[in-house]
Amino acid sequence: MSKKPYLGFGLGLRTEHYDAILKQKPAVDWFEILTENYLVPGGKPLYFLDKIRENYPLVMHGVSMSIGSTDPLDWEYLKEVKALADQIQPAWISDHLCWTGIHGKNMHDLLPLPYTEETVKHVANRIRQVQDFLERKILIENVSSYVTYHQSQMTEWEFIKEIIEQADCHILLDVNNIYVSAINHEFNALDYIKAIPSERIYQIHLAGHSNNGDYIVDTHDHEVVDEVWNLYKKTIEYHGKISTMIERDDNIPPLKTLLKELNYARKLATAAK
Amino acid sequence: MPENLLQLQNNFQEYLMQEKQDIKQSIMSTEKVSAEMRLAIYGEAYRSRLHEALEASYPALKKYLGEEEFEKLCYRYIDANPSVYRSIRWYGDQLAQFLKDPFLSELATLEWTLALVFDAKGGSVFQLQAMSALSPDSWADMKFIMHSSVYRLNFSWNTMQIWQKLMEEVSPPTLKKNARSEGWILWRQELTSRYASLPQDEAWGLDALLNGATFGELCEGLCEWVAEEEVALRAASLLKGWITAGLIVDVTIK
Repeated sequence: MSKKPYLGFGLGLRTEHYDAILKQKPAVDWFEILTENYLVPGGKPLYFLDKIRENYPLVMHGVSMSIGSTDPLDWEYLKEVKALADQIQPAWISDHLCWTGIHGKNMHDLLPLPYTEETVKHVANRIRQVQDFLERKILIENVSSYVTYHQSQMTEWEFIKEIIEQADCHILLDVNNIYVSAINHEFNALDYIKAIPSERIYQIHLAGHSNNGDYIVDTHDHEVVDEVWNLYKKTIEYHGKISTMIERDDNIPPLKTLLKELNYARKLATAAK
Repeated sequence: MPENLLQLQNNFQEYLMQEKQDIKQSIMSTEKVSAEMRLAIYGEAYRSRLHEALEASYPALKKYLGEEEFEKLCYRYIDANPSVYRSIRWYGDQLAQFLKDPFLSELATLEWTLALVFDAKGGSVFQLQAMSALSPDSWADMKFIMHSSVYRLNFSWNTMQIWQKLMEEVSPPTLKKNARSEGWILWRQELTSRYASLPQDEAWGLDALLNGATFGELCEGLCEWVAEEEVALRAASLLKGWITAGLIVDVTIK
C-alpha cells in the first residue's frame, strides 16, 4: 500500500466564511467541501469554490452516495461527482457508511446499517464499483447512530474493518461520532478506535454535539467537547499523524473561532507525537 | 439482492415517512433509552430537515403565512411529497403546484425561480459591439441564445411588491389583483440576481426569443403594439437593452 498523504489541519468550507477566506487567506492547510452544494450549474457557489481552490487544497465530502442502500447505485449522481472532481482535483473523495433511502426516495439522513455479513458483502461490493467508476479509492466515514438492530452480528468496528478490507478503501474517522455512539450504545470508544487499521485512516473529523442526558445527538452545532479532544489525542498517540479537520454544520461561528479550535487540534496532535 | 437488508430498510423508511411501526421489532431498547425514543430521533430529524429546506427556499412565503401556518403547510407538503433528490437543495420544487391559493402559488413560484436564477449556469454574454460585425441584410434572420439564468414570470397579483417588502422586513402592501397580468423578467448578471417589470410588448418579445424566434419574427409580432413604420426601431431598441442587460449569450444567423 502506498504511503498515505498528509494534508495537515483543515476546516469544512461554509458559505458564511467565503469572503473572510478570500480576504484573510487564513492559516488553514486545506478545506473540505460538501460535494452536493457544488453540484449546481453555476453562480456564487462555483465562483467561490474556484477562487478558494486557487489558494487551498480541497477534499470532497458527500452525503448522498447512499452506499449502503438496496437501491441501485445512482450513476447520474456519480457522474456529477466525477465531473466536479475533474474540475477541482480534490486530494480525495469521501462519503458515509450508511444508507439515505430506498425506492428512489431520499430521507436526507445518514441512516445506520445492520452489522451483518450480508451487509458487509453488499456495501464492500458497491464501494468497489464506485471506486472503479471514480478511478480512485474513496474514504468512508463512520456515522453516529441512535439505534442498535437485533439483526446485527458484530460490533460496529468489526463491521467497518471488514468492509474497508473487503472493499480496499480508506476511512474518514469521525472521532465525535464514535464518542456519540459509544455513549448511546454503551461501548468503549477506545476499543473502536484501536480496532481500525492505522494505514486505512486518511482523515479525522472533529465536531460538537448536543447532550440530551440519556443520549447524545450528533448535531455538529457546538464546539468540540473535552471528552472528544481527549479521544482525539489518544487516536493520534495510537495511530500517528492524520489529516484532521473541524466540521461545523450548524450555528456557524466566525472563522476566527473555528481557527482557534483548529489550532487547539494542532497543539494536541503535536504533543501526542 | 440482500433481502434482509431490503426488508429492514423498507420498514425503517416506512416509519420515517408514514410512522409505520414494523421497524420497532428490529430495534433494541436499553434501560436508559427505549426503542421508541431511539427511533423518534430519526423521525423528528427527517421532518425537521425537510422543513428547514423549505424554509431556506421560501423565506417570504414563511413570513407571509407566519411560522405556524408555514410549518403546517410544510408538514402537509412533506407527507405528500417525499424527496426524490440527491441534493436537498432541489426539495420543494412542487410547492407552487401544491398550493391551491393562486397568490400563494405565485409567491412560491417567484421564490423558487429566484433560487434557479441564483445558481444557473454562468459564462460570457454577447456584447453590443459584436452587432457591428453582422450585416444589416442578415438582421431579419438573427436568432438568439439566451442566458441560462433568464426566467420570465407573469403575475396576476401584486406578488413582486409583496415579496420585496417581506424581504425588506417591512409590512407588505395589501394583496391586490392586477387589472391585467404583469410581466417580469428575472436573471443574473455576473453574480448579482436582478429582476425587472416589463411592458406588454417587451414581455411578449422576450417570450418569443426564449422560444427561438428570429429578429424578423420579433418585428412582425411587435406590430400588435407598435405602428408598422416604428416597429424596426422598437425591436432594435429592445434588443439593445437585452444585450446590455446580459440576457443574450450569442447571436446566430438562421
